[in-house]
This record gives sequence, structure tokens and C-alpha cells, in this order.
Amino acid sequence: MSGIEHLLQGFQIALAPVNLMMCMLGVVLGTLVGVLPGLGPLGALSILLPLSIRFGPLSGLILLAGVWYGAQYGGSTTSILVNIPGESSSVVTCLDGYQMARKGRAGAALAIAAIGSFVAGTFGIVALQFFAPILANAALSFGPPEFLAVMIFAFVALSTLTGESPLKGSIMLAFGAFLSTIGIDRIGGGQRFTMGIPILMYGIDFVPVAIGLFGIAEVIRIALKPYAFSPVKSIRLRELYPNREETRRSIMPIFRGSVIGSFCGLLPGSPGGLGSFLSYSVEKSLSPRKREFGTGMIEGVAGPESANNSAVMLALTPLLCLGIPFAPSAALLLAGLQMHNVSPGPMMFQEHPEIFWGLIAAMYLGNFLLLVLNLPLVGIFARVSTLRPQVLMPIIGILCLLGTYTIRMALFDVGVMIAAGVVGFFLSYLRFSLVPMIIGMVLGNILEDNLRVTINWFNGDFSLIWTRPITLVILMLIPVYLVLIRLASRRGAWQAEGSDQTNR
Amino acid sequence: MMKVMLVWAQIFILLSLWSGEGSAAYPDKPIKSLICYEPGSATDIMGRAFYKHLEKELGQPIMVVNKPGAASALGLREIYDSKPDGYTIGLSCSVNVLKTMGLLPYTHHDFSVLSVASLTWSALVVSAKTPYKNVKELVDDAKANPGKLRWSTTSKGAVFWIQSRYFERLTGTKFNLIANPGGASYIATQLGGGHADVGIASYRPLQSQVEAKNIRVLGITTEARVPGFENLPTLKEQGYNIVLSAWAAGVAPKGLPPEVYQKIISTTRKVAESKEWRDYCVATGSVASPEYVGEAAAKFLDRDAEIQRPILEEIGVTKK
Repeated sequence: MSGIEHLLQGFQIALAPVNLMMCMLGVVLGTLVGVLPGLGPLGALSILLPLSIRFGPLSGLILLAGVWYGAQYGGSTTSILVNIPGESSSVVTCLDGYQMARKGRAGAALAIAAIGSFVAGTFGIVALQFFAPILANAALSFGPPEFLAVMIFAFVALSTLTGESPLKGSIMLAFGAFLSTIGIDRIGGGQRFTMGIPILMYGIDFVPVAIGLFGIAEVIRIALKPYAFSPVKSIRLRELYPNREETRRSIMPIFRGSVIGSFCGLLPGSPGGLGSFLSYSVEKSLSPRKREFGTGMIEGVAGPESANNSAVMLALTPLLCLGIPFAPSAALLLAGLQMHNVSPGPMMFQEHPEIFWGLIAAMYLGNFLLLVLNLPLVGIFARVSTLRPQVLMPIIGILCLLGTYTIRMALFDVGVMIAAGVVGFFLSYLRFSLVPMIIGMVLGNILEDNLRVTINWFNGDFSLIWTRPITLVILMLIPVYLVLIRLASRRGAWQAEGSDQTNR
Repeated sequence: MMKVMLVWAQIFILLSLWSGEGSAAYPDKPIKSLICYEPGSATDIMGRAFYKHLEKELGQPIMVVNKPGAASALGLREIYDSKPDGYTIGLSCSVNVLKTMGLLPYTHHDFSVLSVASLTWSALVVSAKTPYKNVKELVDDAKANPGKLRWSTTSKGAVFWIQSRYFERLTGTKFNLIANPGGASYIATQLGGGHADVGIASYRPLQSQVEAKNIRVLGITTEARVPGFENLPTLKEQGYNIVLSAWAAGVAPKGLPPEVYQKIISTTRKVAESKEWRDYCVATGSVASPEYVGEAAAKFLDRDAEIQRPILEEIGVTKK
């Protein structure tokens, strides 16, 4: 049977009432989970796992997968409206998305995020559908040295996000990396920087810090502003959606984001949000107006949000083809399947092809459902940003407090969030960029783990690197990338200048 | 008259609210379980499967929170610190040896040991890129090249790590042990992709790679060949007396009220004895062990600690 026939059969299965219901339930729940700060898809998936088992392997999988990619849609909502990252992959959207909201363009940002997510999600599913086995085997060929090379590449690519001063950016990066080391060392078992305080042994979770740095810091900032009564502005429907220019500017970032996100989703153990960070960095580097990033550039929303969604789709590839989960959420999907005695992997294609194709079809449907769901809601959501601060800020404060608590049911996290909020307020007052600190925290752990594992792997014989062609290629791509980015941004600047001149 | 009635009504309401707490039977709300391993790891999957059955008996959902790190020491600390009301339980595979290794100041005697519901055997596997067809070939090559072959394993102190070192000790070999945080899935990736040469882990997570012919099983750690997996030779029959089982102990903070403890124990025993659980165990490369519940489970952990302690001392990871 050809691929198309398989797909059609998959659609037949996916449109069965039970599966359709699971799909809708999954994406709606996922969106809700994404909107709520703190509770991420992983938490929701763990709770839903027992429920999903009742309905059979495919239906359960559709539900869980729906929650997972639905959460990527929802996460952008709070990032844009109230500067709270719904989960780690939405942090970058706060930067420009929230600024757009403050300029009254919340609707445009939300709509572009939804559209970008849909396009990228579809791109991801198409890639999954046609190239799944090839991609999976490619993913398997990434060992410790390869992954270390990728992380180094990521650090270099993200170095453009240092904000105003490279020195301040580096300090923030180092500080973030330092924070990520606190706790019990996951490889060797020793304690680091815990200073005898038991609770620090758990380490400092990244999500409370992000919520604090962005959400709470903003609350403090607004609270310190002099009281001003601003009448509620009514928004015209036309202004709610992106105008022509914004749409035009979003097209390329969405495609680039889809590709970047796909690569990042495919990597074993890649942190959630790596794709969105990289996409933001690429968009900023390529744009002739790079200095304006952070003040409300639509590219900074379109790219990262697309990257998120394609990453999730591609993260399913190693799971379905190799039976190996590379992301924690994928591991839960695996558990769900195994409880039905379905072992994803090469055998699954032969024994249960309907699961693969049924899931693919369901993902197309779910993606589309999310777009249909979210676009009309943009209007309602956008009005949130017109609420008076006196009303909005307390609501945000409570959401942050509750959401952070739900991560681990630990008051410690809430304390961390508040501390991060105060710190974040002062940092941005002193013009330190927050993004490098986030990058340090998220990537620091993984870079360190991989560095140590790789060093162990080499066992003293570093000449072995010549036996690892992929590693060498990735390392060589680093200077290539830097050069290309420079050239591309110069060309963008020339074009902008050129059009300026013709407009005079 | 109305006022008096109103007052009495209020008193009744208050009393019923107050006594409501005390008289509710355990469990009257969801139970949280801290599984001290990555989501999707072997222990995690086993634990969730068990809870699926246990929930039905208890009548309340069991919410799983994964808290991996330091061979379950991280999660165990949290369990130790939580209220002994039966609403926080957990799962650990190393609770009886963590104090010996200096990772935790508590032994299993500092917790309420609930059960050890299944025993999971491990498989010694090699990447398909290596030429070894049986254990002897591997051991010979390792002896000829000490410290050269890459052995993929989990965090220092975790079950598979201990099993790896035990193998080294018993066969007199030395490998390059590469510790990955991340459980058997990582081992499967490393070996499947050929980035490491050999490893030991429970079978289920490795299964799809074995079926894809990226990984080869050299032997398993049981007494005799296992029904359902007859094609897998044991290490024992090849002359290496390595019989090891990984287990997961259900624990709770010490000091549970007697009726809560009894309720958990009796329902656990019922589930562990059930046909569904036995069948599930066989399908996943383990053996159901309903005999280890409550006190018997604690004694099992004592015995297991005694077995592990000399290994740990030999290997040199004990902290006085």
C-alpha cells in the first residue's frame, strides 16, 4: 500500500467517534495546560495516563499527543498577554509578544502565533509521515560527542542574544549556569552548593525562576508606576488581527522556525524550548532591524512559536520508529503504549501500522482543530490586555503563585519565584538582559552532563574525534553559521537601505 | 424560637464539618506517589501499571510525580519529609543501600516499607556493531583490553550501575563505565546507535532495539531460562553465576496510622496476587512477588542489602 492509501486509512480510523473525541479533548486540555503557568504538559500527561489507558492504545495515544502539542499553542497565550511563560518553550515569546500586547497588538501576536503553530505543526507531521524511519535512524547516530557538538553550536548561535552589553550578557549566562548546578549531581551523586540545606538538594527548578523573572518582575514594575486611571479602550475587530505588513513579515520566520524546530525536536534529550531559543536568535540575526527585537517585533513571535510546534511533532519520530523516547513527554506516551502491550519501534510498522497512521491522521486533525479553536478566541483573549492594571496584576499574581506551587507542590518553588521576581526587577532596571540567564539555566545542566559523558567516552584518547564524522561536521558548521548569518544580515540591511532610498 | 433553632443548626453544621475529617475512611482523596525515576523508565512504567490496578482496589486515583536523581535519593528525601498520612507514597529501587553509599542518611528502616511487588531480571547486551556472540568472547576481549570497551550505565549508585560493577568484579574485567543520567532508555540509545559497546539493563526498554537487530542479548541474569523468552540464554548456563534482580520497593514515610498501613498492605497483596499482575510481569520480563508485602518486604530488603553490601565494599563506594 502506498503512503497515501495508508494515510487515508488512518483518517478513517481517526475520524471514528471515540478517536475524534479523544483528539478534541486532548487539544483542549493541552491548550488549557499550556495557558496555566507552572503546570506543563508533562504534569498533565502523568495525570491523564491512567485515564487514557481505558480506551485502547490508539485512542489513548491520540489523547496524550493532543495534550502535548496543544500545550504548545496555549503556552504562547499567557506569554503574550501577561508576560508569564506557560512553560519553558514559551519563554522567548514573552520578549516580543508581550511588548506587542502593550502596544495594543496582542491580537495580532496571538493570531500569528496560532497560524505559525499550525503551519509548523503540519510541516512537522508531513516530515514525520514521509521521513520517519530515516529521521529516526539519523537520530540514533547521535552519540555523546555529537550531542556535545550540537550544544556547543547552540551556545554559539544563542550568543547573539546577549542584549545590550556582551559583558552583562556573559555574566547572566554564567549566573544561570551556576544556578543549574545547585543540587545533587545527577551523574556522580555528590552534592553541589547545597550548603547543608536539604531542600536545595532538589536543585532550583527552572520554571519558577522563569515565571518570577518575567511575570512577577512585571507585576512589581507596574506596581511601582504612579497611579493613573486609563479608560478601557474598545478595540475594533479589524485591529485584532494581523495587518498585511505583519503577515508578510511573518512568512519567512514561520518557515525557518518550522525547520529549526524540527531539528531540535529530533535530538535526543534536547531541552524543551531549544528550538524556540534558536529560532529567536536566527530571526534577530537575520533582521535588518535587530536592535528593535525586544520591543515588539512580530518575527520574534512567529519564529519561536512555529519552532515549538514542529519540535513536538518531530520528537515523536524516535518514539514511534525506534521505541526510544527522547523527551520526557515522549516517555510517557511510550508508557501508555506499552501498557497495552504495543511496543513502538520497527516491529510496530509491521504489527500495528494502524497506530502509526491513525496517529498521524489524528495529528493533522488536531492541529487544524487547534487553529479553528484559537483564532476566534484571539478576540476574547486580546481584550484581557485592555484590563486595568489594578485588576490585571492581582490576577496575574495569583496565577503565578498557584501555578508555581502546582509544579512540585513545594512552597520552596514559590519562594524561588518571588526571589526571582525581585531579582528580575532589579536586573532589568540595571539593563541586564534576562534571556542569557534563562539560557544558562536551561542549557547549563545538559551541556555539563554531555561534556562529562563525552570526556568519559573519549577515555583520554581525543584523537577518536576523527572517527566521529557527524561531530566534526557540526563543529565545522559553527564558523560557517557565523559567516552566513553575518552575510545574510548585511544583505537584509542593504535591502532595507535600498528600499528606504527608493521611497524618498 | 427561630434564633435558637438557627444557633443549633449552626452548631450541627460546624460539628459535622469538623468530625467529617476524622471519620472519613482512608483513602478519601487522591494519593500522590513519587516515583524516583525518569518518566518512561522501567521502574516508572512498572509502577504506573501496578497503580492502575491498585487504584481500583483503593477507590482513589494515584497521581504519579516523577522525581529522578541520585539513584532515587532525591525523591526519597521528599518522601521522608512528607506527612505520614498515607497520601504520599513512593517507589525506589535502592532504598536499602543509599546510606551505605553516603547518598542518603536514611535506610529502609527509616521508612514504612510497603511492598516489593515484582522482581525484574536484567539482560547483558552488546551493540550489534561488536563481534561478540556470547559472554566468553566479551570477557576475553575485555581482559585483553582493560578499560577500553565502553560500558553504558546509569547514575553512579543506581541498580544497573551496581550490576555493571558486579559483573566487572566477578569476571575480573575492567570496562570504561560511562554513567548517563537517564535510565535504560539511554542505554538503549547508546547501544542501538553503536556509541557504546556493552551494557546491562532490564529487558523491556531494550526490546525494540533488540527486535530491530541493533542490539544483541548475550545473556540474562536469571537462574534458568524464562518462559516466554526461551531464546535468551542465561549467564549462569554460560558459566557466570550472576543472578540478579532489580526490584522496586513501595515506601511511605515512617509512622503511618495502623489502619492506613493495613489498608495499603492488604490491597497491595491482593493486586500482587492477581492474574493480571502476574501476566503483566511475565510479558515485561519480570516475576510477580506477592510474598514480599509489609514486614516480609522489609526483611527482603534486609537480605538484599546484605547481598549488596560486600559488592559495594569491594567496589569501594561505601562511605563510613
